[in-house]
Amino acid sequence: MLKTHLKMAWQNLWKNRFYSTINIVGMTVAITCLLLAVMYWDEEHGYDDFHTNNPNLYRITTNLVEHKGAIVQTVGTTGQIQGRAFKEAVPEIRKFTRVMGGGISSEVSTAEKTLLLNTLFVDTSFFEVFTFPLVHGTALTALKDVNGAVLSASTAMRLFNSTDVVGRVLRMESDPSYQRLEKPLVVSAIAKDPPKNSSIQFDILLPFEFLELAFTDTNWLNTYLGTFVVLEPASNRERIEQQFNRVFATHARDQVEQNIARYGFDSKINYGLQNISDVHLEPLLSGNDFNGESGIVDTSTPIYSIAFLVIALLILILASINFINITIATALNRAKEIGIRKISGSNKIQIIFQFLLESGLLCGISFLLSLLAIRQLIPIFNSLTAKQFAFEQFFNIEMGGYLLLIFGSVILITGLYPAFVLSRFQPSEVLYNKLKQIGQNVVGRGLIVFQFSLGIFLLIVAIVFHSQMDYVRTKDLGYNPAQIITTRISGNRDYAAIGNVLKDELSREPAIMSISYIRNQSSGGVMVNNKRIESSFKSVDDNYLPDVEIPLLVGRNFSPDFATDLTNSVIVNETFVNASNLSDPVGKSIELIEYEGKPTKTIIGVVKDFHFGSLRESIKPMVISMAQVPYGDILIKFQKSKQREAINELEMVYKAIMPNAVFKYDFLDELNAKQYRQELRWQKLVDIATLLAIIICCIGLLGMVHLSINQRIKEIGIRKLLGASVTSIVALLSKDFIRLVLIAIVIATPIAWYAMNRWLQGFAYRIDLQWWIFAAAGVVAVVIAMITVSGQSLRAAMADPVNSLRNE
Amino acid sequence: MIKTTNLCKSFRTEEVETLALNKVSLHVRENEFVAIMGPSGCGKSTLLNILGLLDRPTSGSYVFAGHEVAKFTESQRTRIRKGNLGFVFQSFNLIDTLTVFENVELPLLYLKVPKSERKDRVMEALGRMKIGHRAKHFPQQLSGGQQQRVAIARAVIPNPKLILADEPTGNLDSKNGNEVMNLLTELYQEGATILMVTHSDHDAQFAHRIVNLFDGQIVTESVNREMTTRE
Ligand SMILES: Nc1ncnc2c1ncn2[C@@H]1O[C@H](COP(=O)(O)OP(=O)(O)O)[C@@H](O)[C@H]1O
Ligand SMILES: [Mg+2]
Repeated sequence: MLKTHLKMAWQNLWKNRFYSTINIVGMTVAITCLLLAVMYWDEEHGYDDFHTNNPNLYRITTNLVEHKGAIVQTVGTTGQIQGRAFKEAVPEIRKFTRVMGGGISSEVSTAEKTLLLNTLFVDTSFFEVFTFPLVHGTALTALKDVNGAVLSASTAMRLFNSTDVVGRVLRMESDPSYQRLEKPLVVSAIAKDPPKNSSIQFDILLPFEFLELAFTDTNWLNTYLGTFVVLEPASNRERIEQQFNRVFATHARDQVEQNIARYGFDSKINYGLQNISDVHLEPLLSGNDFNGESGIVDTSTPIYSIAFLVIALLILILASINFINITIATALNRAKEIGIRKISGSNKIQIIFQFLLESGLLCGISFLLSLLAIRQLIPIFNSLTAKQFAFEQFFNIEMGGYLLLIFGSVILITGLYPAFVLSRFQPSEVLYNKLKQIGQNVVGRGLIVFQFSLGIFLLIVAIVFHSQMDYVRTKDLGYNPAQIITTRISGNRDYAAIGNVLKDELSREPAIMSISYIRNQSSGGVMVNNKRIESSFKSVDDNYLPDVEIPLLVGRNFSPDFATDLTNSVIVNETFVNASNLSDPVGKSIELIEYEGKPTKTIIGVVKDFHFGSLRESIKPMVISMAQVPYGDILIKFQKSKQREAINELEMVYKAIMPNAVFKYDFLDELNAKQYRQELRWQKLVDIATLLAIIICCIGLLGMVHLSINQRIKEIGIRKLLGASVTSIVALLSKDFIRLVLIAIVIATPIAWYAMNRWLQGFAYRIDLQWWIFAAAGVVAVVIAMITVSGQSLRAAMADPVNSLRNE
Repeated sequence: MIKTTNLCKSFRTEEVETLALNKVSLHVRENEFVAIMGPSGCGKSTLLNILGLLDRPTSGSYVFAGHEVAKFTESQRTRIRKGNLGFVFQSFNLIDTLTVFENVELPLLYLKVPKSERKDRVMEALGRMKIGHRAKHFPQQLSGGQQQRVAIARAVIPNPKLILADEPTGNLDSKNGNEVMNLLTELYQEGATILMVTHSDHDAQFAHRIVNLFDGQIVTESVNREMTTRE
């Protein structure tokens, strides 16, 4: 029974191979996208699930209250002091560990080499809280000694060419803690490399006690590192959070009062708990935490996995629409078969079953093709998503479950509806040829309109995306980042002395034109004329403004000739002047509120506004002071077309001055471009999605046109017989479909306008949504549809009428 | 009006080659009524299609109204067909999605006749075929005889010089069949040239001349005395 049905299904697919091909192509594309999206989703939502303490493993979060009284934000970080204090007060906390790092690199040396390693400072309980298996050494004692260091396996290989290196000695000469340690570090254990879906990544783990040799902090109001706790199973989180708040209220009282006295506001703080599984998608990091001490890296947001899945589902919908349209339409041609089967006693269920079998067969073929496609596409997908998926990942139980689920639902969606529609045919209607023509098939037309609306919507999205990103990339930043190398000095070194030597030596190198310093400092309040202005702070040396070509509007640049510039002078930007309503800013005094002693400074110049950071944000008021010591970035301006020489010279000098340091550099313009890497990836993705959607729309349209022409073949013959020209036949056949595309344009345009307007609101600097974007999308859609339709129509119109009239 | 010399037509299908017409030489003068007869499959329709410029001969010459058209392209043939030739088929070949009126209007549409004139001429033709009252109906709503009358109205509306009818009564009962034959005779008497394929001796008696086809060849030609005398 099944075998005959299967055979019949196969014969039918083969007989309609043109349509079967359309269906298989569309379905393969859709299933491929969906599987990739599910894989991405699974990966994104599976971060940090591997810790065996997981359901009870939490991170402590901090709600900060701003001076105005509003909750500023919830951050995923705390200071150093909370962990221990909470552990002592709350019995439900089994273990806790602080994790500081993520963006901290240290120069670690063996006898042979020095490497820059990603360093985490953690408590001894680290391995009891997290699940990072050891290859060598014992977890309980690995971080007990202040000079114990745990290396990841790959780092051990890089340093020693072996993982069996427990007991070997390491130096960190530029590290302030190491400078106080007075003995070498000893490798105490080797851990397996953290899995790639871990938010906590490290090359080397050092005891928190080691960090404390140089840096202790008892301030309750600080938030910069991660504190993780393991709770007793089934403990009441809310009660624990309240206990945290009570501990804060008693322990931090003095500090809070001091703060009120000094800065004039009460930084009300309360605490929360966040499960470790949520950390990746809800990193809760504020601007300053991105400095890299929170312990958390590779953060994301759910929007990516959602967007992926939505795009994949849309493509699946498009392909399913083709499938349904074509199945119903070809089945109309098969209506006679169905009618006869009904008359000869076949029941509804059997007919439905036959259809489901056919769609199952098609989907099965598509599924296999998808798997083949994914195998080929994984490298491309990885570069698009910046992940490292492997094809083998598909063959685990969880993915298997998803596969089955997708497979089943696709068959049901695509098979059930047509089966249902067709099984309801009345044999009498069918056999006496009373069925409506496809041309009047309202559902089919509606679906085509829907498809094209989506396609056009995506097309507009893609055009707007491109225009905006081009705009952002080519927008004048207000300074010139070309011909500039950036580097920095790291570790605990004599920055002033090194800076001086560096400047001296480099100025003698022929390819290097100039050296300047810039350091980003935090932001804070500035009082001008009794008005508080939130500003960002930078410190630069006297070369910076000329080197990056930032023009002064009034006043003068910093100069070593003025002794007071280092202590008393500031330069502000235009926005600052506008915000403070200063009519004649040069010579005016301002007061930096959040600096110890509230220093008063004098404005000596105003620079033209320039962008610092992403163009998503508008330019903020900026206060620039003078610095002679390179604590931040060192910018080296080099001669045009002498880039190689400049790097070589720089590296030579750098290494001569700091033999133990690791030399790292970037080009300023490339650094700027990197800010938009994420957006560029999305741009590519949108492009691909748009392309796929349009291809699927087109093959669907192709199928529908083909069907409709087949149905009208006799009419075409008659019209030609009566003298219709080829053009008039093509027009006749295309008109209907082009009209559908026009309707789709009318539907898609306002929706796309609304959506893209919303998206652009996220940019401080953005393009206007001009009419030509929509016109272009419309024209493209019409042209593509026209090409699709006219090929088929032309073929039909050119055919000899005699052929279509002959067979009756 | 029509002169063919050694017309041949062969069809190739996968492996077999059928010679549907074999050296057919035929001469039809203006205002003749010629019936083409012969057993099924002998090439009658093929001949009619070639004569009606719907198809091309494989070889031989075909002169239509002074033009050698055997090698004409489809678009050249369309140009000649338009307005000059009218077709009537056994299966009516009306467009189901158009009304009776619209079906009959089509040839005028393609001749770019202005709208007001079109309306008058269509109504007149329908009136003549005694089907004017069904102008707004769709073909499926009419009986076979009515449909064939619509098809004839459509064939004659541009006042063609030549009317080609392929078994026009084949799907009709005798009463309706006779009615159709009377209409064709009327047209002939008004000056049209008519080429009609038929199975029926009865229908053939309306014609002026009978051409008998067998296996793609003309076997006999006979003049219908009754008709000649009537002339
Ligand atoms: N398009 C075609 N392809 C192949 N063979 C054809 C075609 N048209 C007609 N024939 C063959 O040519 C022969 C003559 O057909 P036709 O002119 O339709 O016969 P009639 O009208 O006399 O019954 C038949 O054998 C038929 O099978
Ligand atoms: Mg025939």
